[in-house]
Amino acid sequence: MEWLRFVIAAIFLAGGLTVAAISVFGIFKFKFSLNRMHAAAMTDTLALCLVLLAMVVLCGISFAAWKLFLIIGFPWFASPVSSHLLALLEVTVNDRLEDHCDISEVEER
Amino acid sequence: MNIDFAYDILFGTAIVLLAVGMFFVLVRAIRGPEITDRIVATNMLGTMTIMTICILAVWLDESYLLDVALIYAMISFLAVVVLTKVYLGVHREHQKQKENQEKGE
Amino acid sequence: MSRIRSDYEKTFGYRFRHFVEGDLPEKNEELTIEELYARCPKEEEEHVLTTADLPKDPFLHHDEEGQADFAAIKEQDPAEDARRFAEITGIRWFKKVYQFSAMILCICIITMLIITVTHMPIHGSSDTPTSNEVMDRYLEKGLKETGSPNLVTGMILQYRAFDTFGETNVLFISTCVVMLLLMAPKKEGHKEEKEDKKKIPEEKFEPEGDIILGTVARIAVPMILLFGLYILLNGHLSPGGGFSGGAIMGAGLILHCVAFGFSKTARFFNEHVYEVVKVGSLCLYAMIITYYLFTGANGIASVVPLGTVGNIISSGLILPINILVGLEVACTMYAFYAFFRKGGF
Repeated sequence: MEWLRFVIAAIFLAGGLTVAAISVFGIFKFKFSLNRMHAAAMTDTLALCLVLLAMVVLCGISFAAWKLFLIIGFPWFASPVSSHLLALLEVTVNDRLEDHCDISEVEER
Repeated sequence: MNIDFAYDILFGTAIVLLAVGMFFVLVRAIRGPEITDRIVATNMLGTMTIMTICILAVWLDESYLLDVALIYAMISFLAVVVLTKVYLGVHREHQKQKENQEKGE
Repeated sequence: MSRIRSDYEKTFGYRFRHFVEGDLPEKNEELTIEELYARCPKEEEEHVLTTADLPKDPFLHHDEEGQADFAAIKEQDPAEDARRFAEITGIRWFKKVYQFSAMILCICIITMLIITVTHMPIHGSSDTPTSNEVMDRYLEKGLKETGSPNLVTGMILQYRAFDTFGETNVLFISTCVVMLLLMAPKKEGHKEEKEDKKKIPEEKFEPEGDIILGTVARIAVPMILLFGLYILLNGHLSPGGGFSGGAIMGAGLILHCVAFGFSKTARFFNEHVYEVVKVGSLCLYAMIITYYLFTGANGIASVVPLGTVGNIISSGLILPINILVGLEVACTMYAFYAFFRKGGF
C-alpha cells in the first residue's frame, strides 16, 4: 500500500517535472515574447497541478490537502489574467509587432 | 529498500531538477530583450518556487510551509499585475507627451 | 445595493465619527476660490509681485542694462560689490568643503565599522552574546510566561515589545516622510493649478478598467484580505503575525486599487480612514507598551489572563498588539503604492 502511494506520487511528480522542463526549454527555443508566454503558462497551470497532485497523494485526506488544492486553484485564476495583461502590454508597447505575427485582421484598439 | 530512503531520493531529485530549471529561467529573466520577457520569466520563477516550497512542506512534514506557498502565489500574481499596469500607464503617458510635442511643432 | 438611511445623522456611528474627527466641518462642502476669498477678512489690496519689483542682480542679468547696473554699483558702493563677490565665492568654497568633509566622514564611519567587524567573536564559541542566559530563559519559560506556542511571536511582542514598538514607529515616520516628499498639492494653491489638476484624467495614473482583471479581482481581493486576516489572528499559534499579515492585507488593497482604480478604493480607504487607523493604532500600541512598562518596572503582576494555550483568544496582549501592528503595516503598504503612483489617495 505504501509503495503503491509512492509509485502514484512519483508518476505525477515526474510528469510535472517533465512539463516544467519542456516549458524551460520553450522559453529558450521561442524567439518572441508572446510565444514565450505560451511556454511559461504551461508551468503555471499543468506542471503546478501535477506536482501538487503528487503532494496531495502523499498527504492523504487532511487539512494540508485542502490547502494544496487552494494553491492549485489560485494560480489557475491568476495565471490567465497575468497572461492577458502581459499580452496587452506587449501589443501596446511593441512597435514592430507585424515582424512576428500577422495582425492585419486585428483592428486598432 | 527502505521507503523513507526512497522518499528522500524522490524529493531530493525533484528539488534539484527544479533548481536547475530555475537557474535557466533566471538566465532568461536577466537576458530577456523586452520587458515582457522579463516579467514572464519572473512569473515562472515564482511558480517554480511555489512547487519547491510545497515539496519541502511534504518532505519535512511541516504543513505551515503551505501558507508561505499560498502567500508567494498571491504576491507573484500581484507583482505581475502591478508591473504591467504601471508600465502601461507610463508608456501611454509618454505617447501622449510625444503627440502633444508633435502638435506643438 | 443598500438602502440609504435618512436618519443617518442621528445614529451612534455618525456621532462617533464626528467625535473622532474632532467635529470638523463637512468635508463635502465644495467652495470655489472666490467664495473662500470672500470669507477671508478683508485686508489691504493684494500686492502683485512683478518682475519690476524684483531687486536687480547684476550677476544674474547679463544684458546691457545689467552690465550698466553692475558698473553703477561698482562705482557707487565698492563695499556692496565686495560683499556680493564674497557671497558667491563663499558658496563655491562651501560646496567644496562640504563634499570633502562628507567624504572624510564616510571614510571614518567605514573604518570604524570594519574595525568592529574584526573584533567580533568567532562563530560558535560559547562566550558569544547569542548563547547567554537569555536564550535559555526564552526556551524554558517562554511558553509559560507568554502563553504563545509560537515562541518568536512571544519573544518579539512580549519580551521585546518595546523594540517592536520602535519598529512600528519607524514605519510611521517613513510614511510621514514619503507624504512630505510626494504628496501632491490639493486644495491650496492658485486657481490655475486647480484647473490643471482637473484636466488630468484618471487614465494618467490608471489605464482603462480591464474587465478580465476586474472579474478576477472581485474574487481574489476578498480571498487575499481574508487570508491576511487569518495570518494576522493566528500570529501567536502559527508562523505569521502582525508584519506578514499586514503586508498581505496591504497587497489585497493594492490589487483592489489596480483593478478598479483609485476612485473606487477611495470609497472605503481614503485619506481620512488612513489617518485615523494609522495614528489610532500607533497610540493604542503606545498605551499597551506603557502598561507593560508600568507593571514590569513596579513588579506588579499583569492582570490580563493568558488563557488556554492553543486558543485564538489567549496569550494575553499579544493578539491586540498583532492586530494593531497589522493595521499599521497594511496602511503603510497601500500608502507607499498610492503616494509613489499618484501622490495622494
